[in-house]
Amino acid sequence: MGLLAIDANSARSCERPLNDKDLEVLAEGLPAGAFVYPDIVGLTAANRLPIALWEEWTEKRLPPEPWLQGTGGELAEMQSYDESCKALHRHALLQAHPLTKWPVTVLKGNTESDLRRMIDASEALGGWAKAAHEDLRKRLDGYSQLEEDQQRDHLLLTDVGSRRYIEAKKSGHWVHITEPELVVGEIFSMVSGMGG
Amino acid sequence: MDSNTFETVVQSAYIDLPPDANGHRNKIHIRSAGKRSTPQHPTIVLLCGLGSSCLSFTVVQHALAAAGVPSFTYDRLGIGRSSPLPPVDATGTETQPQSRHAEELATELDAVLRTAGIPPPYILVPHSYGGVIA
Repeated sequence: MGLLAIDANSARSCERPLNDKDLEVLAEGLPAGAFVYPDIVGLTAANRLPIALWEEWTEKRLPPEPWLQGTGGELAEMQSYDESCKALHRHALLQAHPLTKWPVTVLKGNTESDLRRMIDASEALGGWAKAAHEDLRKRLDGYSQLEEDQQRDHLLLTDVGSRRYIEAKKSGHWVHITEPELVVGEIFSMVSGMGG
Repeated sequence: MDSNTFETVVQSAYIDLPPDANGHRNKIHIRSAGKRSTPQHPTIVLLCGLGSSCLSFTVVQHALAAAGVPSFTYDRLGIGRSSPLPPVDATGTETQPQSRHAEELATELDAVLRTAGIPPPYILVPHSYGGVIA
């Protein structure tokens, strides 16, 4: 076993500066009916998927079998998000080091940067009051450090000698889209260390 | 690189999960690339974030396969190309609450790996909310 956590949530991830309501308000400031998030946070520019797959991922194109279009899953998972994080805390896995000696790497992205880009875009489009933008920006101060602390919790799953912490400097939250070579390189390193 | 080049390396398929508590048989969209050279070598299991389709891992899967490292990912129920949620019975009535806890998603992951015939060892690679499921 091994674990490579890409900007991944942990048991403490329910502590976050912006809640779901804030994100809804933020989205209201952006053009209605358009899935502009990938454009704003730089995913569209970084994308290396063929256009058909990219448009399907960004929900601009139906899947090949439209009767199998997954719907409802995002909402269903979101409704249990906080409780799921708390339940993970109760399992006390972090104290047990269940992956003893197996490699665990945390590859942290920068969600704070994505959120700041969203606020800037919303402001540029005149979405809502400047005071509201400033409030959101202020609340994001220190978020990246909080996320680092939360994500480092994954490292506690294994012994000290098997831990690695890396930051994806050119990415926001979607490291495997913006810096896939970083993800692939780390997987190669883990496989090689496991004798593969 | 065009879609066909990716699709010959990273292959989509569908599996039927065992019936759930309400007797529903749901379809799960899986994407696999590469083959294990020995039983001791790990399969890379890529876990998507909240609400995200597994297509986002295609570039990573393609690169891993080129180096002979097998990988696997899937769309959870209600996401991407998998069956929608909530399931309905023959009368069109919803049979499941509109909420899915991470423990349920972890159980689904286990069922998907068993049904798809992907034995351990694994390297789990979760993105975002996938970290809670892992």
